[in-house]
Amino acid sequence: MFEIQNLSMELDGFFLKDINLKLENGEYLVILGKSGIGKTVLLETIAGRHKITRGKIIKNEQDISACLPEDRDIGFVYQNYELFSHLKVRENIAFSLKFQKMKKSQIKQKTDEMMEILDITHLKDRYPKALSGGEKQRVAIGRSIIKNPSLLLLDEPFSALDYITKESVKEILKDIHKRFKPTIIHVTHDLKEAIYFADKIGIIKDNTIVKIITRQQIEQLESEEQLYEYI
Amino acid sequence: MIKNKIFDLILFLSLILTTMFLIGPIVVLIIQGANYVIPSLMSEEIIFSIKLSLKTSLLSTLICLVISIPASYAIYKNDSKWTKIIEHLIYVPMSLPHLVSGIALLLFFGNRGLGRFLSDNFGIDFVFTVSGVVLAQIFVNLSFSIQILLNSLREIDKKTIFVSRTLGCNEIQSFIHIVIPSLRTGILSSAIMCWSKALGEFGAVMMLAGTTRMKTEVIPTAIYLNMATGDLNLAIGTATILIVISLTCLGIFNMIFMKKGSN
Repeated sequence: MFEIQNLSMELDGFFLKDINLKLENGEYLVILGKSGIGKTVLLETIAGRHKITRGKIIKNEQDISACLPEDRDIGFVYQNYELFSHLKVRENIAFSLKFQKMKKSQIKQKTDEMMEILDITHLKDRYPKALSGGEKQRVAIGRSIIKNPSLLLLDEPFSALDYITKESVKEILKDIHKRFKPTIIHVTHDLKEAIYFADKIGIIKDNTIVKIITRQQIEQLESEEQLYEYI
Repeated sequence: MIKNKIFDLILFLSLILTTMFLIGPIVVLIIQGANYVIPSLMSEEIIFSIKLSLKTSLLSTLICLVISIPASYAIYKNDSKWTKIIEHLIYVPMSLPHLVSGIALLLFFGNRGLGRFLSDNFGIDFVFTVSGVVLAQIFVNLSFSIQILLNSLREIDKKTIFVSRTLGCNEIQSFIHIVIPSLRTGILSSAIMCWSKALGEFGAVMMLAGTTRMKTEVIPTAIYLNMATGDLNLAIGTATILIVISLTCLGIFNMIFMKKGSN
């Protein structure tokens, strides 16, 4: 289980206050909010980039609020991918396994499997600069999921993609969630994207999460636009 | 139409004039000095100065990199007001005439300052020694090296480094596996700049290490001493050797640089 209790933080004049969240293992939460409202900062805080001023981040009954990013067992995918430009696709994907004291043959096998799932085996020897946006995003997802994190954070993962690419990467992400069952927190400002993926939708507004909407409630909505009222 | 052509002509002429101004004197020196290269290479003094120049410039370049990589990373990592002040202080030597830098070094590392402490306790002496040559070269180059590396570091998105942390790297592993490889071009540029400037450094070296023949005599010192004693031919020949060494090494560096770039 993943839980945030009364989380507050402050960063260069920007702040988040009293954030509360509760997710069962394998649940998919989409946080919906306008651009510039602090969605990315919230994810980065959960992953350990920014210090919190108050509250707790609890993962599987363990308080990880003071843990270093490398000790939190959290995967992170940014909207602009942040691939390692000096490493080839297969090296990017295998990156985290190098620090898990795994045998080379095991690393190769796991990397090959992941590239197969993401349909990027043919790109394995390319550097990121020779990839399209959709290909880069698949590599970024593969790189973060290969170490099997219990929590995966996705920061507007489709915002830089065109419509057709977005649809194919969406399918891949659905498949990844089905196969590996990580708990996912995905932030976006796209209503359709939120409805497509979410088990729960969290509305972020006025520096906090103001409402959590369950899947059941989403399906009872008369129209998608009803969600806009909350935002 | 005609105005555009005139404008293009002015641009072209300014380019030609700039090129002539920058390359002309060097070409004349090489043409005139070519005849004196062999006699210069026969001189034991010139061979000594070439060897000392290569040795000290390579050593000072290496030390500059060893210091400037962590120093620039410390500035890059911290966005505080104090770090910005330190960054500006670090750049002060860049604006000083090298002779002034040499005097400052002489006072600081001479017999009255830190130099006395180092000499008494560790037996390290910088005044009129080869160590002084290396120290002077480091002093005039370190700020430039930090600036080049910092510019390269600022092209790396801090989010990329953070992602590596979420993938299991601690800070040191992130530095080794992500920062250093991403900084390859900056390190190479910094090394080229430090080395070529160290090879030609004279003002600060002269003030701290002196101009003792066959002791602290680097190539620029040899040129100066031969000019001062009226041996113009030997001075021109030595200057030509310095240009040839610089151009050859820069050519090799550029070839490596371009190969890395294409990768």
